[in-house]
Amino acid sequence: MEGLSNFIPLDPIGVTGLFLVGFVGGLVSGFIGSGGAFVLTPAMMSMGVPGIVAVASNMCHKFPKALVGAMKRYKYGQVDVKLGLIMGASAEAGVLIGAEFQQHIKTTFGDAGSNLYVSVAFVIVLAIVGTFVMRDAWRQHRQGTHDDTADNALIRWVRSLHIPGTMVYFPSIKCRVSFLVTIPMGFATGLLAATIAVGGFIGVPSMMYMLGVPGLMASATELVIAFVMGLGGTIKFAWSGFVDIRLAMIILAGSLFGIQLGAIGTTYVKPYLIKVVMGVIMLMVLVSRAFVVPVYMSQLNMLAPMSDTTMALLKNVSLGIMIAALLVGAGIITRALVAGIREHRQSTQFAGVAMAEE
Amino acid sequence: MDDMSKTFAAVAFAEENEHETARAIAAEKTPAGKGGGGGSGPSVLWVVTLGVAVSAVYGLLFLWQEDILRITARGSWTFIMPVAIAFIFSLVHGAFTSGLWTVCGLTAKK
Repeated sequence: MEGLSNFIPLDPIGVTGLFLVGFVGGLVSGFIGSGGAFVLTPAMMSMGVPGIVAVASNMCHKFPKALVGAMKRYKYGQVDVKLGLIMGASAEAGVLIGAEFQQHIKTTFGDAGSNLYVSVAFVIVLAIVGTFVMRDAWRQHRQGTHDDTADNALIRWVRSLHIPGTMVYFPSIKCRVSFLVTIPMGFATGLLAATIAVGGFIGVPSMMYMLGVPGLMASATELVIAFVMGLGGTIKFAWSGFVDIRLAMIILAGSLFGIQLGAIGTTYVKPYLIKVVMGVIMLMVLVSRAFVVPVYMSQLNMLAPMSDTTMALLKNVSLGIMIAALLVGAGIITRALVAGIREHRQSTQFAGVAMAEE
Repeated sequence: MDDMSKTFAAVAFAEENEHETARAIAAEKTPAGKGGGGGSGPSVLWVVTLGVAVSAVYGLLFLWQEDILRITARGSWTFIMPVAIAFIFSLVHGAFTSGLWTVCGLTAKK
Protein backbone atom coordinates (compact mmCIF):
# COMPACT_ATOMS: atom_id res chain seq x y z
CA MET A 1 0.00 0.00 0.00
CA GLU A 2 3.02 2.25 -0.39
CA GLY A 3 2.21 5.51 -2.12
CA LEU A 4 -1.47 5.09 -1.40
CA SER A 5 -1.69 7.33 1.68
CA ASN A 6 -5.41 8.08 1.28
CA PHE A 7 -6.36 4.42 1.59
CA ILE A 8 -6.27 2.36 4.78
CA PRO A 9 -4.81 -1.16 4.66
CA LEU A 10 -7.55 -3.74 5.02
CA ASP A 11 -7.07 -6.91 7.04
CA PRO A 12 -9.77 -9.56 7.63
CA ILE A 13 -10.87 -7.77 10.84
CA GLY A 14 -11.20 -4.47 9.00
CA VAL A 15 -13.17 -6.10 6.17
CA THR A 16 -15.49 -7.83 8.66
CA GLY A 17 -15.93 -4.56 10.58
CA LEU A 18 -16.80 -2.63 7.42
CA PHE A 19 -19.16 -5.36 6.27
CA LEU A 20 -20.98 -5.24 9.61
CA VAL A 21 -21.12 -1.45 9.51
CA GLY A 22 -22.54 -1.70 5.98
CA PHE A 23 -25.04 -4.30 7.12
CA VAL A 24 -26.31 -2.19 10.01
CA GLY A 25 -26.25 0.93 7.81
CA GLY A 26 -28.30 -0.96 5.22
CA LEU A 27 -30.64 -2.34 7.87
CA VAL A 28 -31.25 1.18 9.13
CA SER A 29 -31.59 2.49 5.54
CA GLY A 30 -34.13 -0.13 4.62
CA PHE A 31 -36.02 0.44 7.84
CA ILE A 32 -36.17 4.23 7.85
CA GLY A 33 -35.99 4.76 4.07
CA SER A 34 -32.99 7.04 4.24
CA GLY A 35 -29.59 6.65 2.61
CA GLY A 36 -27.90 5.43 5.78
CA ALA A 37 -24.79 7.43 4.94
CA PHE A 38 -25.28 9.33 8.17
CA VAL A 39 -24.22 6.08 9.85
CA LEU A 40 -21.70 4.88 7.26
CA THR A 41 -19.57 8.02 6.82
CA PRO A 42 -18.86 8.56 10.56
CA ALA A 43 -18.36 4.81 11.09
CA MET A 44 -15.74 4.70 8.34
CA MET A 45 -14.05 7.75 9.85
CA SER A 46 -14.01 6.03 13.25
CA MET A 47 -12.09 3.20 11.55
CA GLY A 48 -9.42 5.63 10.39
CA VAL A 49 -10.64 6.46 6.88
CA PRO A 50 -9.98 10.15 6.03
CA GLY A 51 -13.21 12.20 5.90
CA ILE A 52 -13.00 13.03 2.19
CA VAL A 53 -12.38 9.37 1.24
CA ALA A 54 -15.31 8.28 3.46
CA VAL A 55 -17.67 10.76 1.76
CA ALA A 56 -16.37 9.90 -1.75
CA SER A 57 -16.63 6.11 -1.21
CA ASN A 58 -20.08 6.48 0.28
CA MET A 59 -21.34 8.42 -2.73
CA CYS A 60 -19.89 5.73 -4.99
CA HIS A 61 -21.83 2.92 -3.28
CA LYS A 62 -25.08 4.89 -3.29
CA PHE A 63 -25.74 6.01 -6.85
CA PRO A 64 -26.46 2.61 -8.48
CA LYS A 65 -28.99 1.90 -5.73
CA ALA A 66 -30.65 5.29 -6.29
CA LEU A 67 -30.96 4.56 -10.02
CA VAL A 68 -32.69 1.23 -9.46
CA GLY A 69 -35.05 2.77 -6.89
CA ALA A 70 -35.89 5.74 -9.15
CA MET A 71 -36.62 3.52 -12.16
CA LYS A 72 -38.89 1.30 -10.13
CA ARG A 73 -40.81 4.16 -8.58
CA TYR A 74 -41.18 5.81 -11.98
CA LYS A 75 -43.24 2.79 -12.97
CA TYR A 76 -45.54 3.53 -10.03
CA GLY A 77 -45.99 7.10 -11.32
CA GLN A 78 -44.36 8.63 -8.24
CA VAL A 79 -41.40 10.39 -9.84
CA ASP A 80 -41.60 13.97 -11.12
CA VAL A 81 -38.80 13.52 -13.64
CA LYS A 82 -38.80 17.17 -14.73
CA LEU A 83 -38.45 18.42 -11.15
CA GLY A 84 -35.82 15.75 -10.40
CA LEU A 85 -33.69 16.70 -13.38
CA ILE A 86 -34.03 20.46 -12.85
CA MET A 87 -33.16 20.16 -9.17
CA GLY A 88 -30.52 17.57 -10.07
CA ALA A 89 -28.78 20.15 -12.30
CA SER A 90 -28.47 22.71 -9.50
CA ALA A 91 -27.66 19.91 -7.02
CA GLU A 92 -24.82 18.89 -9.32
CA ALA A 93 -23.47 22.43 -9.11
CA GLY A 94 -23.70 22.16 -5.31
CA VAL A 95 -21.88 18.82 -5.38
CA LEU A 96 -19.08 20.16 -7.58
CA ILE A 97 -18.57 23.24 -5.42
CA GLY A 98 -18.91 21.21 -2.19
CA ALA A 99 -16.41 18.63 -3.43
CA GLU A 100 -14.04 21.38 -4.55
CA PHE A 101 -14.30 22.93 -1.08
CA GLN A 102 -13.65 19.52 0.53
CA GLN A 103 -10.54 19.07 -1.58
CA HIS A 104 -9.39 22.61 -0.79
CA ILE A 105 -9.72 21.90 2.96
CA LYS A 106 -7.88 18.61 2.58
CA THR A 107 -5.05 20.26 0.62
CA THR A 108 -4.78 23.22 2.99
CA PHE A 109 -5.34 21.61 6.39
CA GLY A 110 -4.68 17.93 5.73
CA ASP A 111 -6.68 14.97 7.03
CA ALA A 112 -7.34 16.64 10.40
CA GLY A 113 -8.94 19.65 8.67
CA SER A 114 -11.03 17.44 6.42
CA ASN A 115 -12.13 15.30 9.39
CA LEU A 116 -13.02 18.37 11.45
CA TYR A 117 -15.05 19.87 8.60
CA VAL A 118 -17.06 16.68 8.01
CA SER A 119 -17.53 16.04 11.76
CA VAL A 120 -18.76 19.56 12.54
CA ALA A 121 -21.15 19.40 9.57
CA PHE A 122 -22.48 16.11 10.94
CA VAL A 123 -22.94 17.47 14.46
CA ILE A 124 -24.89 20.51 13.21
CA VAL A 125 -27.05 18.65 10.67
CA LEU A 126 -27.79 15.67 12.94
CA ALA A 127 -28.69 17.98 15.84
CA ILE A 128 -31.26 19.78 13.69
CA VAL A 129 -32.67 16.80 11.81
CA GLY A 130 -32.45 14.36 14.76
CA THR A 131 -34.39 16.70 17.05
CA PHE A 132 -36.99 17.30 14.34
CA VAL A 133 -37.38 13.56 13.70
CA MET A 134 -37.77 12.72 17.40
CA ARG A 135 -40.34 15.50 17.82
CA ASP A 136 -42.23 14.25 14.78
CA ALA A 137 -42.13 10.66 16.11
CA TRP A 138 -43.56 11.82 19.43
CA ARG A 139 -46.30 13.82 17.69
CA GLN A 140 -47.12 10.88 15.45
CA HIS A 141 -47.20 8.49 18.41
CA ARG A 142 -49.61 10.74 20.29
CA GLN A 143 -51.88 11.68 17.39
CA GLY A 144 -51.51 8.59 15.23
CA THR A 145 -51.58 10.75 12.08
CA HIS A 146 -49.26 11.77 9.29
CA ASP A 147 -49.83 14.64 6.87
CA ASP A 148 -48.44 13.83 3.45
CA THR A 149 -49.00 17.17 1.75
CA ALA A 150 -47.90 20.36 3.45
CA ASP A 151 -49.62 23.69 3.04
CA ASN A 152 -48.05 26.87 4.38
CA ALA A 153 -47.54 30.54 3.58
CA LEU A 154 -44.18 29.83 1.88
CA ILE A 155 -45.73 27.36 -0.55
CA ARG A 156 -48.54 29.80 -1.40
CA TRP A 157 -45.99 32.60 -1.96
CA VAL A 158 -43.76 30.40 -4.15
CA ARG A 159 -46.73 29.40 -6.27
CA SER A 160 -47.91 33.00 -6.60
CA LEU A 161 -44.55 34.12 -8.03
CA HIS A 162 -44.65 34.77 -11.77
CA ILE A 163 -41.29 35.43 -13.43
CA PRO A 164 -41.71 35.49 -17.23
CA GLY A 165 -39.55 33.02 -19.13
CA THR A 166 -38.84 30.86 -16.08
CA MET A 167 -42.21 29.22 -15.42
CA VAL A 168 -42.26 25.42 -15.61
CA TYR A 169 -45.18 23.05 -15.10
CA PHE A 170 -44.40 20.36 -12.51
CA PRO A 171 -46.77 17.36 -12.56
CA SER A 172 -46.19 16.58 -8.87
CA ILE A 173 -47.81 19.84 -7.77
CA LYS A 174 -50.00 20.31 -10.85
CA CYS A 175 -49.06 23.95 -11.32
CA ARG A 176 -46.46 26.24 -12.86
CA VAL A 177 -43.60 27.46 -10.68
CA SER A 178 -40.51 29.47 -11.53
CA PHE A 179 -37.57 27.08 -11.84
CA LEU A 180 -35.43 29.79 -10.22
CA VAL A 181 -37.02 28.81 -6.88
CA THR A 182 -35.62 25.29 -7.19
CA ILE A 183 -32.03 26.46 -7.71
CA PRO A 184 -31.19 27.21 -4.05
CA MET A 185 -33.03 24.05 -2.98
CA GLY A 186 -31.04 21.83 -5.34
CA PHE A 187 -27.79 23.66 -4.69
CA ALA A 188 -28.09 23.22 -0.89
CA THR A 189 -28.96 19.53 -1.38
CA GLY A 190 -25.83 18.99 -3.48
CA LEU A 191 -23.64 20.97 -1.13
CA LEU A 192 -24.72 18.82 1.83
CA ALA A 193 -24.30 15.63 -0.20
CA ALA A 194 -20.71 16.54 -1.05
CA THR A 195 -20.06 17.42 2.60
CA ILE A 196 -21.53 14.43 4.46
CA ALA A 197 -22.89 12.21 1.63
CA VAL A 198 -26.50 12.73 2.76
CA GLY A 199 -28.32 15.26 0.57
CA GLY A 200 -31.83 13.99 1.23
CA PHE A 201 -31.97 15.78 4.58
CA ILE A 202 -32.46 19.01 2.60
CA GLY A 203 -33.87 17.74 -0.71
CA VAL A 204 -37.00 16.00 0.55
CA PRO A 205 -38.13 18.58 3.16
CA SER A 206 -37.49 21.49 0.77
CA MET A 207 -39.63 19.92 -1.95
CA MET A 208 -42.37 19.25 0.60
CA TYR A 209 -42.35 22.50 2.53
CA MET A 210 -41.37 24.99 -0.20
CA LEU A 211 -43.11 23.60 -3.28
CA GLY A 212 -45.85 21.53 -1.65
CA VAL A 213 -44.82 18.25 -3.32
CA PRO A 214 -46.53 15.31 -1.55
CA GLY A 215 -44.08 13.39 0.69
CA LEU A 216 -44.42 10.26 -1.40
CA MET A 217 -43.47 12.04 -4.63
CA ALA A 218 -40.78 14.12 -2.92
CA SER A 219 -39.01 11.01 -1.66
CA ALA A 220 -39.30 9.35 -5.09
CA THR A 221 -38.07 12.46 -6.93
CA GLU A 222 -35.18 12.68 -4.46
CA LEU A 223 -33.93 9.36 -5.88
CA VAL A 224 -33.46 11.01 -9.29
CA ILE A 225 -31.55 13.85 -7.63
CA ALA A 226 -29.55 11.33 -5.57
CA PHE A 227 -28.57 9.44 -8.70
CA VAL A 228 -27.54 12.61 -10.58
CA MET A 229 -25.61 13.88 -7.53
CA GLY A 230 -24.15 10.50 -6.67
CA LEU A 231 -22.85 9.87 -10.16
CA GLY A 232 -21.55 13.41 -10.56
CA GLY A 233 -20.03 13.42 -7.06
CA THR A 234 -18.38 10.05 -7.61
CA ILE A 235 -16.88 11.22 -10.90
CA LYS A 236 -15.70 14.47 -9.29
CA PHE A 237 -14.07 12.73 -6.30
CA ALA A 238 -12.76 9.82 -8.42
CA TRP A 239 -11.27 12.33 -10.88
CA SER A 240 -9.04 13.42 -8.00
CA GLY A 241 -8.44 9.83 -6.88
CA PHE A 242 -10.37 9.92 -3.58
CA VAL A 243 -12.74 6.95 -4.11
CA ASP A 244 -11.65 3.79 -2.29
CA ILE A 245 -13.58 1.27 -4.36
CA ARG A 246 -12.83 -1.54 -1.86
CA LEU A 247 -14.54 0.36 0.96
CA ALA A 248 -17.45 1.27 -1.31
CA MET A 249 -17.98 -2.34 -2.39
CA ILE A 250 -17.65 -3.82 1.12
CA ILE A 251 -20.25 -1.46 2.54
CA LEU A 252 -22.36 -2.11 -0.55
CA ALA A 253 -22.18 -5.86 0.21
CA GLY A 254 -23.25 -5.41 3.83
CA SER A 255 -25.77 -2.73 2.92
CA LEU A 256 -27.54 -4.87 0.31
CA PHE A 257 -28.05 -7.67 2.86
CA GLY A 258 -29.29 -5.18 5.45
CA ILE A 259 -31.43 -2.93 3.26
CA GLN A 260 -33.75 -5.71 2.18
CA LEU A 261 -34.12 -7.08 5.69
CA GLY A 262 -34.85 -3.56 6.96
CA ALA A 263 -37.46 -3.05 4.23
CA ILE A 264 -39.17 -6.30 5.20
CA GLY A 265 -39.06 -5.05 8.81
CA THR A 266 -41.11 -1.95 7.95
CA THR A 267 -44.06 -4.16 7.10
CA TYR A 268 -44.19 -5.53 10.67
CA VAL A 269 -43.89 -2.41 12.85
CA LYS A 270 -45.85 0.69 13.80
CA PRO A 271 -44.86 3.80 11.76
CA TYR A 272 -43.71 5.94 14.70
CA LEU A 273 -41.10 3.29 15.68
CA ILE A 274 -39.29 3.93 12.40
CA LYS A 275 -38.79 7.58 13.32
CA VAL A 276 -37.77 6.67 16.87
CA VAL A 277 -35.01 4.42 15.50
CA MET A 278 -33.89 7.12 13.08
CA GLY A 279 -33.86 9.83 15.78
CA VAL A 280 -32.05 7.68 18.38
CA ILE A 281 -29.30 6.66 15.95
CA MET A 282 -28.88 10.22 14.66
CA LEU A 283 -28.46 11.63 18.15
CA MET A 284 -26.02 8.89 19.19
CA VAL A 285 -23.93 9.41 16.03
CA LEU A 286 -23.96 13.13 16.79
CA VAL A 287 -22.50 12.52 20.28
CA SER A 288 -19.93 10.11 18.81
CA ARG A 289 -18.72 12.73 16.32
CA ALA A 290 -18.77 15.48 18.94
CA PHE A 291 -16.22 13.55 21.05
CA VAL A 292 -13.57 13.62 18.30
CA VAL A 293 -14.05 17.28 17.33
CA PRO A 294 -11.60 18.45 20.08
CA VAL A 295 -9.03 15.93 18.81
CA TYR A 296 -9.07 17.37 15.29
CA MET A 297 -9.08 20.93 16.69
CA SER A 298 -6.03 20.09 18.79
CA GLN A 299 -4.26 18.58 15.76
CA LEU A 300 -4.91 21.84 13.91
CA ASN A 301 -3.60 23.89 16.88
CA MET A 302 -7.02 25.44 17.39
CA LEU A 303 -6.96 24.05 20.94
CA ALA A 304 -4.10 23.47 23.37
CA PRO A 305 -2.08 20.38 22.37
CA MET A 306 -3.51 17.15 23.73
CA SER A 307 -1.55 14.22 25.07
CA ASP A 308 -1.62 11.05 23.01
CA THR A 309 -3.43 9.30 25.85
CA THR A 310 -6.25 11.88 25.87
CA MET A 311 -6.57 11.71 22.08
CA ALA A 312 -6.72 7.92 22.15
CA LEU A 313 -9.29 8.04 24.96
CA LEU A 314 -11.58 10.45 23.08
CA LYS A 315 -11.25 8.44 19.85
CA ASN A 316 -12.08 5.22 21.70
CA VAL A 317 -15.09 6.80 23.43
CA SER A 318 -16.28 8.06 20.01
CA LEU A 319 -15.82 4.61 18.46
CA GLY A 320 -17.59 2.99 21.44
CA ILE A 321 -20.61 5.30 21.10
CA MET A 322 -20.68 4.67 17.35
CA ILE A 323 -20.69 0.91 17.89
CA ALA A 324 -23.38 1.33 20.56
CA ALA A 325 -25.48 3.41 18.10
CA LEU A 326 -25.21 0.68 15.47
CA LEU A 327 -26.03 -2.06 17.98
CA VAL A 328 -28.99 -0.12 19.42
CA GLY A 329 -30.37 0.47 15.92
CA ALA A 330 -29.86 -3.14 14.86
CA GLY A 331 -31.27 -4.36 18.18
CA ILE A 332 -34.49 -2.32 17.98
CA ILE A 333 -35.08 -3.35 14.36
CA THR A 334 -34.32 -7.05 14.95
CA ARG A 335 -36.51 -7.14 18.06
CA ALA A 336 -39.36 -5.42 16.20
CA LEU A 337 -38.92 -7.76 13.23
CA VAL A 338 -38.91 -10.96 15.34
CA ALA A 339 -41.84 -9.80 17.51
CA GLY A 340 -43.79 -8.70 14.42
CA ILE A 341 -43.22 -11.99 12.59
CA ARG A 342 -44.21 -14.00 15.68
CA GLU A 343 -47.35 -11.91 16.22
CA HIS A 344 -48.27 -12.18 12.54
CA ARG A 345 -47.81 -15.97 12.54
CA GLN A 346 -49.90 -16.33 15.71
CA SER A 347 -52.73 -14.22 14.29
CA THR A 348 -52.58 -16.17 11.00
CA GLN A 349 -52.78 -19.48 12.90
CA PHE A 350 -55.61 -18.12 15.06
CA ALA A 351 -57.50 -17.03 11.94
CA GLY A 352 -56.91 -20.48 10.42
CA VAL A 353 -58.29 -22.23 13.49
CA ALA A 354 -61.31 -19.91 13.61
CA MET A 355 -62.04 -20.58 9.91
CA ALA A 356 -61.70 -24.35 10.46
CA GLU A 357 -64.20 -24.18 13.33
CA GLU A 358 -66.70 -22.38 11.08
CA MET B 1 -33.93 -8.39 -10.54
CA ASP B 2 -37.66 -8.10 -9.88
CA ASP B 3 -37.30 -8.89 -6.20
CA MET B 4 -34.49 -6.40 -5.88
CA SER B 5 -36.33 -3.54 -7.54
CA LYS B 6 -39.49 -4.42 -5.61
CA THR B 7 -37.59 -4.15 -2.35
CA PHE B 8 -35.98 -0.88 -3.36
CA ALA B 9 -39.39 0.49 -4.27
CA ALA B 10 -40.77 -0.65 -0.90
CA VAL B 11 -37.82 0.94 0.88
CA ALA B 12 -38.35 4.18 -0.92
CA PHE B 13 -42.10 4.19 -0.27
CA ALA B 14 -41.40 3.64 3.41
CA GLU B 15 -39.92 7.11 3.38
CA GLU B 16 -42.24 9.74 4.72
CA ASN B 17 -44.12 6.89 6.37
CA GLU B 18 -45.88 5.64 3.24
CA HIS B 19 -46.08 2.26 4.90
CA GLU B 20 -49.28 1.13 3.31
CA THR B 21 -47.77 1.52 -0.15
CA ALA B 22 -44.50 -0.03 1.04
CA ARG B 23 -46.40 -2.98 2.47
CA ALA B 24 -48.42 -3.38 -0.72
CA ILE B 25 -45.31 -3.40 -2.90
CA ALA B 26 -43.30 -5.61 -0.56
CA ALA B 27 -46.18 -8.07 -0.24
CA GLU B 28 -46.68 -8.46 -4.00
CA LYS B 29 -46.53 -12.03 -5.18
CA THR B 30 -42.98 -12.87 -6.23
CA PRO B 31 -42.70 -13.87 -9.87
CA ALA B 32 -41.38 -17.25 -10.91
CA GLY B 33 -37.70 -17.56 -10.17
CA LYS B 34 -35.02 -17.29 -12.76
CA GLY B 35 -32.99 -20.32 -13.44
CA GLY B 36 -35.86 -22.64 -13.96
CA GLY B 37 -37.41 -22.76 -10.52
CA GLY B 38 -40.91 -22.26 -11.75
CA GLY B 39 -42.17 -21.86 -8.17
CA SER B 40 -43.10 -18.77 -6.18
CA GLY B 41 -39.52 -17.48 -5.76
CA PRO B 42 -35.99 -17.83 -7.07
CA SER B 43 -34.63 -21.38 -7.09
CA VAL B 44 -31.85 -22.38 -4.70
CA LEU B 45 -29.68 -23.19 -7.71
CA TRP B 46 -30.13 -19.68 -9.08
CA VAL B 47 -29.25 -18.11 -5.73
CA VAL B 48 -26.18 -20.36 -5.39
CA THR B 49 -25.10 -19.41 -8.92
CA LEU B 50 -25.43 -15.72 -8.04
CA GLY B 51 -23.54 -16.37 -4.78
CA VAL B 52 -20.66 -17.87 -6.74
CA ALA B 53 -20.70 -14.88 -9.11
CA VAL B 54 -20.63 -12.47 -6.15
CA SER B 55 -17.72 -14.37 -4.55
CA ALA B 56 -15.88 -14.30 -7.87
CA VAL B 57 -16.20 -10.53 -8.41
CA TYR B 58 -15.23 -9.77 -4.81
CA GLY B 59 -12.35 -12.26 -5.02
CA LEU B 60 -11.04 -10.53 -8.13
CA LEU B 61 -11.41 -7.09 -6.51
CA PHE B 62 -9.30 -8.11 -3.51
CA LEU B 63 -6.84 -10.13 -5.54
CA TRP B 64 -6.04 -7.04 -7.59
CA GLN B 65 -6.79 -4.44 -4.90
CA GLU B 66 -3.38 -2.77 -4.98
CA ASP B 67 -3.32 -2.52 -8.77
CA ILE B 68 -6.87 -1.20 -8.84
CA LEU B 69 -6.14 1.38 -6.12
CA ARG B 70 -2.97 2.49 -7.89
CA ILE B 71 -4.94 3.08 -11.08
CA THR B 72 -7.91 4.83 -9.41
CA ALA B 73 -5.63 6.94 -7.16
CA ARG B 74 -4.23 8.54 -10.32
CA GLY B 75 -7.61 10.19 -10.87
CA SER B 76 -8.53 11.81 -14.19
CA TRP B 77 -10.18 9.42 -16.68
CA THR B 78 -9.60 6.43 -14.41
CA PHE B 79 -12.88 7.50 -12.72
CA ILE B 80 -14.54 5.11 -15.18
CA MET B 81 -13.18 2.14 -13.21
CA PRO B 82 -14.91 2.76 -9.83
CA VAL B 83 -18.14 3.80 -11.59
CA ALA B 84 -18.21 0.61 -13.68
CA ILE B 85 -17.31 -1.59 -10.70
CA ALA B 86 -20.10 0.02 -8.60
CA PHE B 87 -22.70 -0.70 -11.31
CA ILE B 88 -21.63 -4.31 -11.87
CA PHE B 89 -21.37 -5.19 -8.17
CA SER B 90 -24.67 -3.52 -7.40
CA LEU B 91 -26.51 -5.56 -10.04
CA VAL B 92 -24.95 -8.95 -9.21
CA HIS B 93 -24.97 -8.58 -5.44
CA GLY B 94 -28.45 -7.02 -5.34
CA ALA B 95 -29.93 -9.98 -7.20
CA PHE B 96 -28.12 -12.41 -4.89
CA THR B 97 -29.16 -10.87 -1.55
CA SER B 98 -32.74 -10.47 -2.70
CA GLY B 99 -32.93 -14.13 -3.69
CA LEU B 100 -31.16 -15.24 -0.52
CA TRP B 101 -33.69 -13.69 1.87
CA THR B 102 -36.56 -15.12 -0.18
CA VAL B 103 -35.02 -18.61 -0.15
CA CYS B 104 -34.47 -18.24 3.64
CA GLY B 105 -38.20 -17.57 4.01
CA LEU B 106 -37.88 -13.97 5.14
CA THR B 107 -40.59 -12.16 3.24
CA ALA B 108 -42.73 -9.11 3.82
CA LYS B 109 -45.99 -9.37 5.74
CA LYS B 110 -48.88 -10.13 3.41
